[in-house]
Amino acid sequence: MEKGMNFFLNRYKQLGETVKSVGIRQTFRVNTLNIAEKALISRLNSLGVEVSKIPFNKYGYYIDKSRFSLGAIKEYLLGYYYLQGAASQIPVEILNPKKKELVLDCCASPGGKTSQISQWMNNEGIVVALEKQKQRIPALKNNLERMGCYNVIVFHMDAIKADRLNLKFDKVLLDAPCSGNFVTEPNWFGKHRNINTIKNRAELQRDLLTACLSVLKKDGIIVYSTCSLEPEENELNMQWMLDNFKVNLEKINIIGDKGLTNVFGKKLNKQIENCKRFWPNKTRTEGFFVAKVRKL
Amino acid sequence: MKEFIEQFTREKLFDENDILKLRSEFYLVQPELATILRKTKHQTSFIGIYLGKKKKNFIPSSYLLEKLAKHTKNKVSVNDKGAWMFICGKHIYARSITEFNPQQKFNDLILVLNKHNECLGYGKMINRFDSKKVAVQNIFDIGDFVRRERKN
Repeated sequence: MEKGMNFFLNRYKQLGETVKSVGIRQTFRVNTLNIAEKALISRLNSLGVEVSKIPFNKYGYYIDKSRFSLGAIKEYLLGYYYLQGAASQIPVEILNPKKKELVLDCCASPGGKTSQISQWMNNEGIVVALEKQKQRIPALKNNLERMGCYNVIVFHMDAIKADRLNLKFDKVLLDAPCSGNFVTEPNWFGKHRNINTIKNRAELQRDLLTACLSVLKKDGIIVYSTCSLEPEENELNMQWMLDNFKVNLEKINIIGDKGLTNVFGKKLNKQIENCKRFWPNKTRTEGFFVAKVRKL
Repeated sequence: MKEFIEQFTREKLFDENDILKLRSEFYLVQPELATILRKTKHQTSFIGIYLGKKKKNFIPSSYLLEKLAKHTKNKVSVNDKGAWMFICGKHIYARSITEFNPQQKFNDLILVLNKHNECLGYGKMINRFDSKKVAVQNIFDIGDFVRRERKN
């Protein structure tokens, strides 16, 4: 069976990367719906919390030093920030939702990115948030309340059935369910993960991409992201999209490596270079992949 | 919800036509969101501005508490220690209170604000503000967000 740490590390080597485990710093996003950025930083500083700006995020900060957890203090409860990874703040920054737009967030819980979309839209326009798993909806609602999001509608619905909403969206965020990566999951290389589980995920992601395209307006944008390093869930899915739909992959100007165009000897469309791949040892973030797809 | 609001203010805070009741929860729904909801013909789990939930008692949202704080005199300000204890679910001792309305009566519902005028929750006045005892009994505080997360 194709599985285990050596199997996956060898794959990364074949893709040109010698991947090592890295410690990643705790980060947060300032929620400007509830507080001005400077005011929050000043309040955190006065509590003895030292932070520094993440150079590639609009409202992201590293927590450099804190004597206590930032997950329960008053400023957290008042929704002044969201504890969110640096890489995971990127998809919404690329989606760049605007006031007045109708935006779909496909796999919304626990709501970090949904609340970020509301923030970018300054609570104007509409965000439709879908969550398939009923038990994950309370966390989503809790975060939307805490973060002061007023332009969101949540449906308990599998995004694969998004066409049942009878809506056409300007923009769609598909932060797809994925296999994850070894930086955020200590036992990632464990016995349950093998090439078949990766391929099953990739298949589900293609179904979700198909559903997203069906509800997207012409010329609309899908931002597709995963926190997986496996090309089946990333570049190969993008190749499949280019082969089957009228879409373009648009250039993303942010840190990270270009999307791979040679995957295990298979040559892919040059447009895939426009995507971004985050190798943890290079970006000091979790493993990540992001693509900006325009429907033609 | 109406009875809860009336314990703080007689002012009309919302147009009742804009309020949607979803099971036990209340939402303030802007017209654009209402239009989308009608188009989809689907049951929603959350829409617009969450106002609170009717359980045994009404549990207000942080939005509603902030809104009430602007329209009521039933409020006290507390020092940092009192604020911290309150969001941990504790009651407010009179010595933690830095500002209050002298006309407040026993059993009044009272919002609890910190030094930044941020509403942290509400409670019931059970002793005088110049006593040495617990003056405000905690009924609801925003620490509930974390307690809910742990429950989930």
